[in-house]
Amino acid sequence: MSPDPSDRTGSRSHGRRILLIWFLLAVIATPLVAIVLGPHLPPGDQTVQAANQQVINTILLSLVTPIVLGVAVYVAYVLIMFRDRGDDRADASVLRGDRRVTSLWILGTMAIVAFVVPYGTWQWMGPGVGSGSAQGPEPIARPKGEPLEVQVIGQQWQFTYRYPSYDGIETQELVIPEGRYVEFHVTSLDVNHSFWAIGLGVKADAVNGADNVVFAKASRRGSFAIRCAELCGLWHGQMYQKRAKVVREGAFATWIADQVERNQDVLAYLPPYAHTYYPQPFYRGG
Amino acid sequence: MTTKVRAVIVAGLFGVFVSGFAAYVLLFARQQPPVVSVSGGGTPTLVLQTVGTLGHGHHGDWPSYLVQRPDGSWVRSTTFRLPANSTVRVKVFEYDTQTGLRNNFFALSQGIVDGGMEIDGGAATVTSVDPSTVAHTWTIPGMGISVPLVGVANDAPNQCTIAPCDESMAHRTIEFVIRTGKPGHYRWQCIVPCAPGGFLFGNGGPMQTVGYMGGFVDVA
Repeated sequence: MSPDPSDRTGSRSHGRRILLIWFLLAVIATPLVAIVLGPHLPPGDQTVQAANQQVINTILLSLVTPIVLGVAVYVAYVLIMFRDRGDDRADASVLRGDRRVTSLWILGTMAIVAFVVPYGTWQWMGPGVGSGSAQGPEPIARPKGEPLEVQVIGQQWQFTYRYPSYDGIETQELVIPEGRYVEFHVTSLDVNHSFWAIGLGVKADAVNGADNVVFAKASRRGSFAIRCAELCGLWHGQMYQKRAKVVREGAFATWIADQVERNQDVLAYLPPYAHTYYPQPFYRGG
Repeated sequence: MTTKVRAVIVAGLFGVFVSGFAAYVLLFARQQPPVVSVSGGGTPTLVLQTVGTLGHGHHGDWPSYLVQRPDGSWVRSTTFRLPANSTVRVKVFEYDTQTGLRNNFFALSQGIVDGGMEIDGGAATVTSVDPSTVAHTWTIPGMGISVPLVGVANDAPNQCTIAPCDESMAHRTIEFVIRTGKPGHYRWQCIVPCAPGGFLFGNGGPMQTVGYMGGFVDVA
């Protein structure tokens, strides 16, 4: 015969059992998530910003793990222990709320949100910590020092990059130096795109007429992928680059010198460097 | 109406729907332009032509690329198979008029052997052109290749309006050499917003349809 949920003594016993199972699972799973899974969470640790986002993701996942386990254990326990065994035809008893459980749940989740929102916001936009919110040309906070300015230009269906401190040259590939702050100015020549340098922990909408600023400081050399994160036409899925690189300062100097030389034949045709462009006519064709 | 009759009607309608969907998928698959392979010893040549209007078919007013088959015939296709780790000469007969670039950076030839192209058989290689004279580009972002293709003058006599075009009509000839590198599946596109009509920013229709102004390069 199924246990009677209205039996207070039995309920306490079930409650203790659920609590014990949940506690054991949470004690095992939460450190595993934080220590084993955490270092593999996106977006990685190629930049200071990406590493901070990885820490946020690890904290969030570690906070969520016991909550999800609590719900899962409760549901599984109830489904198993109070299943229909074919011998119980009586109506279920009336269940009333438990003020202590409700209060605990509300206070607990409020405490989590009260911690996560300011902490996440700081890690997202804090000076020298986050990549910024890409809310426009005037970021709420900027990192200290003189960053390397790189403009990201979205167009159907490729990103190109301008380096204003190097004659305003333009390139097809993005290369940035290790250990130096980069200030990305993101814009578009046509429809809306979104510049998502996954490994850098940077994402900003590319909108025609807008200049959205984000930051990154690379702490590890290597390649990283860039993709458009805004549906921008049928070739949107192909607006993807694997060639972007973080290199040593010396290698960057060599690369940019080579790009400056290659750009000599087209510099006269490039528009003066600006944070937005309105190439005319907008409608061409034929 | 009995339950049996209802079931037969529902099953019949479902069968019609599934058959229609399958027919649509099959017809769509059959409409894909063919893959044209370029091979041979030495430096094989990929021969292309661009036209301002196809002049026939469902999208007769669309610009398009065409590719020459080994037997010399032309076919509207934008999927090419090139040998890996090889040099390939690309010869483009450009029959379209000048549209102009939205991003003038693409007036620069990039990622090609020796950095330059030959235009109209000129002895000197050219690394950039006036952006306003560009009709199309052959741009393969994944390979870092982009070549501007100058168009014929807008008032040139004897312009071609029905593809395939022949060399007796007004055209420009652009030649360059690329190094294919490792095997891969690369997308290419024309970066000039050359779609006619009211397409948003000139980048709709043929610009987004395989077989016209964009496609793939299979390096194998």
